[in-house]
Amino acid sequence: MRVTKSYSHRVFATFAVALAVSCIIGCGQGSPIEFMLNLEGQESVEARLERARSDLQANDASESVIEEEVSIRVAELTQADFELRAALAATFGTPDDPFAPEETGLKLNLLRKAAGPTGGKDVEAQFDTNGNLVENGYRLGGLFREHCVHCHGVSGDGAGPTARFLDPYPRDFRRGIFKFTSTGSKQKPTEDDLRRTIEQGLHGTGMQAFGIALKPDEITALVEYVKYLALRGEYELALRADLFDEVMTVFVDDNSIDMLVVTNRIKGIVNNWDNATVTQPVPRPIPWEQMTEADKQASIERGRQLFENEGQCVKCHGPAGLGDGGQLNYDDWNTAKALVEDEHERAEMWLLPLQELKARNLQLGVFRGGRRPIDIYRRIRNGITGTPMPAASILKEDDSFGNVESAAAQTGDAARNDADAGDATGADGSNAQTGDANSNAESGNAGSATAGQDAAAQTDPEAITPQPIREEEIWHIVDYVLSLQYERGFRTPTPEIATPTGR
Amino acid sequence: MRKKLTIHDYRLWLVALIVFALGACSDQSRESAAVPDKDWDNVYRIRDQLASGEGGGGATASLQPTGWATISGKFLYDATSAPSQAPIIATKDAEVCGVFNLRDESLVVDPDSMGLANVFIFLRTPRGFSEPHPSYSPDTDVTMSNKGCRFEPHVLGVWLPQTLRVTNDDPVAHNANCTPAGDSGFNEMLQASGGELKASFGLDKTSGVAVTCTVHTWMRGWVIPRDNPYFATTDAEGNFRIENVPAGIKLEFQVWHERSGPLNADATWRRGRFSLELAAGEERILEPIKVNPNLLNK
Ligand code: HEC
Ligand code: HEC
Repeated sequence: MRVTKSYSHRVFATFAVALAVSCIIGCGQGSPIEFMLNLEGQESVEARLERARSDLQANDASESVIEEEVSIRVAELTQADFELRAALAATFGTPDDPFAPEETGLKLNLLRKAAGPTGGKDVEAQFDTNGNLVENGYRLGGLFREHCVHCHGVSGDGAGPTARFLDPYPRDFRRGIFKFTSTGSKQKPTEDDLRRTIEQGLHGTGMQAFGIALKPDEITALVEYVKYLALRGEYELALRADLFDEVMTVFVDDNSIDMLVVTNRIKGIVNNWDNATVTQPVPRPIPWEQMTEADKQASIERGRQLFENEGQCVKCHGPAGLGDGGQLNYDDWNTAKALVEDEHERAEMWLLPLQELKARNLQLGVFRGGRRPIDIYRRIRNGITGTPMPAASILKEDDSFGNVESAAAQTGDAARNDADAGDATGADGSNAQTGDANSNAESGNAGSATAGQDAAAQTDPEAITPQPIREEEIWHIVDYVLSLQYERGFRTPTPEIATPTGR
Repeated sequence: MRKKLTIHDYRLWLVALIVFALGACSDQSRESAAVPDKDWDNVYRIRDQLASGEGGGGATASLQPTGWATISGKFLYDATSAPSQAPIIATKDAEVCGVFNLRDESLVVDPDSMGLANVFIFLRTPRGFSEPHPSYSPDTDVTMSNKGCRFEPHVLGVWLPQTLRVTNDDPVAHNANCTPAGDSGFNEMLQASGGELKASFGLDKTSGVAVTCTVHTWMRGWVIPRDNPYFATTDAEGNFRIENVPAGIKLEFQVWHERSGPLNADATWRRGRFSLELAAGEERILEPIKVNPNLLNK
């Protein structure tokens, strides 16, 4: 009796230790740090096959035809998966051995400084079989994994272990979408924009300022690495669509992806980044230093009018800027997650729970993209990419009244606007529209415009038909927005805005 | 008497060890993008081809059409009665939008002819074909308007070199928001009665990209940027017609509907595609294409 018992103990103990050891070792060695595939909102293989099957059933195809089609699809999808991985690794390498083709303009030495394990790692020189030097030894710096990975994740998916505790979640770089840029509406950030984010952080979010902790050259490397993860992520999504939906592979020989597709995709993505142009603001109607106290109050008051009427900001930010103006659902990143409808399924895919988006409570005076007037100016003029916050619609200086030009289309002319701005600062520049905003709607649309005023009048007795904003008038909105943080305390909230809901 | 399990009992520690070890391995359901060791030759080959600027796939000779032809046809909803369109309640600006009798437009069938509207049919650009017929001009703008708190048209093709204008004819302000993957898109306010934005696309797509209005959340239209001008959206009776199509070249058309994605209207179509070749000067009228309702009940 005793003997058997201790024997069973020993078996149990041996088994347990063996299992534990094999698990830990197996894990540690078998799976080094790797990039993960971006499957967010992607149709699974099973769902694709099911769709092919049910389409054929709807068209009365026979069972054998269906089975044949399904087996062809399985082969195609397997091939697509194989090629996607190969093309991704070929183009961008791995977390411990990053790579970037010339077209991307990314610098390998900077990427290596940011990549690799925490604490860094020396990589030895490589020789070919004849003993000739292929590549010099170099050092991986490990900066990204040391400072950023616990929030932004190895693949830049914004789902590192800390992410779950943050609102907003850390940025998922893989869509190449960035919120706080100095560039035109919906454009890519410049390197300076990324640098500013990393150095100064995004106030009011988990994104802290690294300007003190890191040296300038280290931040340069991290800027490059963020861009690398973004390009890689965009490339993966584009290529996945090509390979899985379009089946754009040409089997030149056995296993080969169509290189034309590969190079076109890289060029297209890099192009978007290269085309981003910085928005230079037009000067203020009156420079701030020269404004009297009365001028300042007048500017703020004009800003309030624009905020409530022409700018339509109240629609989302609410009448007092508390962020309680209307219902919004998600930003672009959460919208992609929401494509996986079932909460349980999302969890299974390691997707974070959906996070709803609210328009900002402007009375808090916390501005993520920077609180300098120029930062607020750019937010208003160009909107916030990746969120519902739209670009303001702006009247082009040299156009006839009522002819609205898109802010996005205009950014290319930014420099020219700047030159023109001299005239715009004339005394009549800012206030011309205040009095007679209503009279501008005439030409052509008179009928519907009147209808609009009537309809709007029913909702809000004070409402006027919104008009496009003159570019330099954005400064009034800036002044108003910046004044809102002093609202607390001396403005009595109206009953419906008594409970601040914005963040 | 059996001893109570205490912190000193080695069994407790063993169980804890197993749990910990299994936990260490639990990150398995995410799929790694790693390439198996045996496949790295392929990776290096692609990398070499990239570096040498080799196009792969062989040089593509330019394809000259023998002439031009026209193709037309009709999509029919294959049922005895048209599906009903659910009413939409205007939750914002009800005074203006509420009067338009808004309805869900994701499936629109003409009850008389049973024609299926808003089917988008387009030519997949044949490799090596680059010069479309001169009747197609990149300088003509295409317009999607906000009219009656909905987008008109509901589905709109845009040739890449063309400019898309989004206008607002309504007496309320709208916003037009469009985020195509990998492209910049747009998100701007459109002032009431006359607001307008201009946009163009850099990347062609084979399925619709939603255009939405953040203010009026029910509004949804679709644009499909294409790298050639050969496309059409079926009208209210389900008809389409595409003119001056290249002849003497194998053509592959693809069909998209917002309910189905690629629409496999026929058992012989794969991924919503079918192929044919037209003779110069030919006026091809396709047999009416019957679409099984099961394909559209997503
Ligand atoms: C504590 C978590 C955390 C850490 C650590 C962190 N970030 Fe962030 N990061 C965030 C959050 C949260 C956001 C998103 C803020 C938002 O959406 O407004 C963000 C956003 C960003 C953005 C996007 C800015 C934009 O305009 O959209 C960049 C770039 C960025 N982080 C880079 C880095 C880099 C580089 C590091 C490492 C040096 C890093 N982050 C470390 C939490 C973090
Ligand atoms: C469609 C809804 C919508 C409209 C209209 C809108 N906003 Fe916003 N706004 C948002 C959302 C959402 C955010 C938060 C974005 C984010 O995630 O950082 C925001 C953020 C802001 C911020 C904070 C920027 C920062 O750096 O933190 C400012 C300032 C702002 N809006 C001003 C305005 C002004 C001025 C207008 C009118 C011209 C306006 N908004 C119109 C939705 C809107």
